[in-house]
Amino acid sequence: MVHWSAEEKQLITSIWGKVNVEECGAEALARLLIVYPWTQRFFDNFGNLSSPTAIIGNPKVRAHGKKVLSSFGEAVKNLDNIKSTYAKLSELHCEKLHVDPENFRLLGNILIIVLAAHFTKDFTPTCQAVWQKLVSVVAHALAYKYH
Amino acid sequence: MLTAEDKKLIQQAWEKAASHQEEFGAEALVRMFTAYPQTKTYFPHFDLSPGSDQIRGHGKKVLGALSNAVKNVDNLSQAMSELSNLHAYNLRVDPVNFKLLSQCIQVVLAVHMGKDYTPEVHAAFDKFLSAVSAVLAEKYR
Repeated sequence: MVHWSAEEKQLITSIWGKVNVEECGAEALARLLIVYPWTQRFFDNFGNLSSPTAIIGNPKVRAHGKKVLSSFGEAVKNLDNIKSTYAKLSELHCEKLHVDPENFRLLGNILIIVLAAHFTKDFTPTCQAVWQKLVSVVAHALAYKYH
Repeated sequence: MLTAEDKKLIQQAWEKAASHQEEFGAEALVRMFTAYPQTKTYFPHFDLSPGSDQIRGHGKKVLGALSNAVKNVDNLSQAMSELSNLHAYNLRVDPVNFKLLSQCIQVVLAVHMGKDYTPEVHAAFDKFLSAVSAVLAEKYR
C-alpha cells in the first residue's frame, strides 16, 4: 500500500480543490493527442483530429477528457486505496480497450504540465513531487490487472 | 522531427528563458532532485541544500547548453558533440534520466509562461528535448 504523509495529502487535496475537472481534463487529453500523436490510435471514432486547433475544439475530446479526469478524482478521494479503486478500470483498459500502460504515464506527465501552467508558482517543487508520485501510483494501479 | 514551425515556436519561447538561465536551470534541477530523488545519486559531491551555489552554477551550465542547442537546432549532433562525448565516456548518466530532467524543464517553462505554454509550444519543446536527449545518448554504445 502506498504511504502518504499528512503533508502530501494536503498538497494533493488543496490543488485538486481548485481544479476545474472539465477544463483541465479536456486540456490534458487534447495535449496528449497533440504532443504524442500516436495516442490518437485509440480514438479513430472521434472525428477531426487533424490539427491542434481541431483537437482542442473537438467535443468528443472535451467530453472524454472530462470523463478521464473525473475518474482521476476517485484516486484523490481514495488515496489509501488506489489499487482497489482502479481494479475494474484496469481490467477494462487491458481486456476491452487494449491500452499500453505507457500511455497512462504519458498522460500523467501531461497532467502535471497542465497543472504547472495553471497554478504557476503555486505549483512548487514539493507540490510537483507529490503529484508526480500520485500520477505514478495511478498509472501503476491502472496497469496492475493487466495479463 | 522538428518542423520549421516547431523551431520558430522554440526560438520565440526561449527568448523568454534567455535572461533567466541561472534561475530556470536551478529550478529545473531542484524540481528533478525533489520529484526524482534517485537523480541525486549523480551529485554526491554537490551541496544540494536550497539556494546552493553549486545548484545555481550547474543550472546555469545546463540551460546555457540548451541555449546553444536552440541556436543550433538544425545541427544538434555537431553542436553538442563535446557534450555527447562527456556524457558517454565521462558522466555516463543513464539516459532514462534525460526524460526526468526534460519533464522538469518543461514544468519550469509552464510555470513561468502560464497559458503562453500552449499545446503547440509544449509539443515543440517536448520534441526538442527528446532530440537533445537522443544526441546526448548517441555515443553511449
